[in-house]
Amino acid sequence: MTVLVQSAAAAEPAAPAVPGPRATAGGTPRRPAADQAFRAELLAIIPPLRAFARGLAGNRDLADDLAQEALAKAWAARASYTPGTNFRAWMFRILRNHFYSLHARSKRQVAWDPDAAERLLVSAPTQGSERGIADIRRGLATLPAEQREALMLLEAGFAWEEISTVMDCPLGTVKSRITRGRRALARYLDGPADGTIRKSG
Amino acid sequence: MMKRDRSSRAGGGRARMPAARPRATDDPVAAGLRRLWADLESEPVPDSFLDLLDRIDAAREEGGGGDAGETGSHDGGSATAEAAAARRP
Repeated sequence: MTVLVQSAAAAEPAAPAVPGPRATAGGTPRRPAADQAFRAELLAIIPPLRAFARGLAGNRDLADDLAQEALAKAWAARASYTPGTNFRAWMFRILRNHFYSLHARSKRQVAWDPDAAERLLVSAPTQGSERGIADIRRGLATLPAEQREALMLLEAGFAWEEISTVMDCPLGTVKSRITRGRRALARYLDGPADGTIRKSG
Repeated sequence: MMKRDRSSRAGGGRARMPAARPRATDDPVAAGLRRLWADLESEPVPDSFLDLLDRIDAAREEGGGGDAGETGSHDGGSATAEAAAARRP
């Protein structure tokens, strides 16, 4: 079992393991301390969760809706989370499952939908680190979703084993997605597609 | 903030200087991904997120601790099942 969640230590003393499967269902009051700790976990995970949602959806508004719905789901299902276990993996997995269930329901293609601002960024001559980010974003947009996800999760600080948990696939698949994603990004950055704006002053 | 896994990813976090290994900053893909992530993660959190937590707080104070955060109108009932599915096997 991984112990990457630093904040888990904070949640631990005040929150003994929840005994029942659904503490709220039958009107049993949950321990306020446990809820307080859970809320703190939610608050702390918002920035990386938004970033990952952005990686899934591309568009900022869609990503924020996604992240908020995932947080609400996590809160509603907090009784099923065991304090001290890997909260980040649990939370990211909820978000990812939610994203794909929405897309399955709407029968829409899972597509990267960049912001208007981002599309502007594509054509605008940017420079320095800003340009580097724009290049990477465009590169990511060319990748299959599962490669993009794996790369983002790695960037989020997850170990490969945790990524396989979040993405619900074997470890070997994770490795291959990361390897292929990186290679494709490298090709993209080297490629002639954006040759006109690669030179920056 | 998100640096906790760097050492394990680099292979054990030994204090060896990267002599033979190309530095991460030399790799445009690694550097770009890292910058992109840092960029996304450092975006200010919109108020709507804090509103969500406020609703959670309100629900907690009412004592029921209900599903106040359930913003989505779509089948809130599946949240528990989904989260249960998200538990580690």
